[in-house]
Amino acid sequence: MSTDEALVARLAEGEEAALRVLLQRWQRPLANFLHRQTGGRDVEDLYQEVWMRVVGAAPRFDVGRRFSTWLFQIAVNLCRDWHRRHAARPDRESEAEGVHLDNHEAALDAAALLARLPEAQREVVVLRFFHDLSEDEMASILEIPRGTVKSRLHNALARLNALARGERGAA
Amino acid sequence: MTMPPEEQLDATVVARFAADRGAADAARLSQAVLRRSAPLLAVRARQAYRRRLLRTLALALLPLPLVLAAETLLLEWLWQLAAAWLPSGVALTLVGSYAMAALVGLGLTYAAIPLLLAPRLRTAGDGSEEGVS
Repeated sequence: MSTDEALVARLAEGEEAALRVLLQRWQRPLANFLHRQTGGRDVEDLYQEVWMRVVGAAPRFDVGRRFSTWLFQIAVNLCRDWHRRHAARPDRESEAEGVHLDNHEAALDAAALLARLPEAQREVVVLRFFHDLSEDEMASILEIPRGTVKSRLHNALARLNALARGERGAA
Repeated sequence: MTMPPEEQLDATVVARFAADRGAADAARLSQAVLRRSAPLLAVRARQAYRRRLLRTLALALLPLPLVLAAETLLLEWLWQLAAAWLPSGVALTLVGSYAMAALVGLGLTYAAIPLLLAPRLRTAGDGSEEGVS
């Protein structure tokens, strides 16, 4: 079975079969990542954009790198752009900033919890707990030092735990 | 979802994360990607084919002067041999036939190079190792 990196080299030569295999391997992790980063909005557009960038930049891909790191790097950057574009609009995150959790239905799923995290903390939580990435991998993807990953993760977990405690207190 | 021991999350949060199914229908999204990327991939495949063809032809043409020189020597030797034993008309026909056959063979060999490379190009677009379900 070809490695992801070998498949990117074949994709650079225009092999659709290589793209099919990469899609098969990464469609679910990537779609889930985008879904959790945006609360399920514009996933289709972002998903296509990530893959079009992969296809477009495949000839310039450094085979010494891991494909997964590259893929998630592209996804993270696109999600950041997406959040910047939507910053002016009220969204789930900003609506939820008060964290009263009076709407019990809204608090029932993971998306609602993730939406209550700042973008930088949400990135590390999603990559760590849903994609099982190491701190080193997260540091590469997010292009930040490992120590920053650790502190963001620590703060995110503290916040999530506080949210859960607050919810129980309100119930 | 995994939970490293040093990062203890509240049980409620863990339960919600575990229950999260993520995005649905990723395969449908992938089909759209395949459709959208098809023109770009086709252009790239043609470019790759041309590059491979030029490389192969260049490599194949490298020994050509040597092959032609060897053929010329062989023809000279054949002509001398045939002219010594056969009437000149028969010798000319024999050596001329051989020269024509060698020329056609050489031409066909070079003409086959693009044809031999072309199936690789076609299968590149057809094959599927695992496929997008």
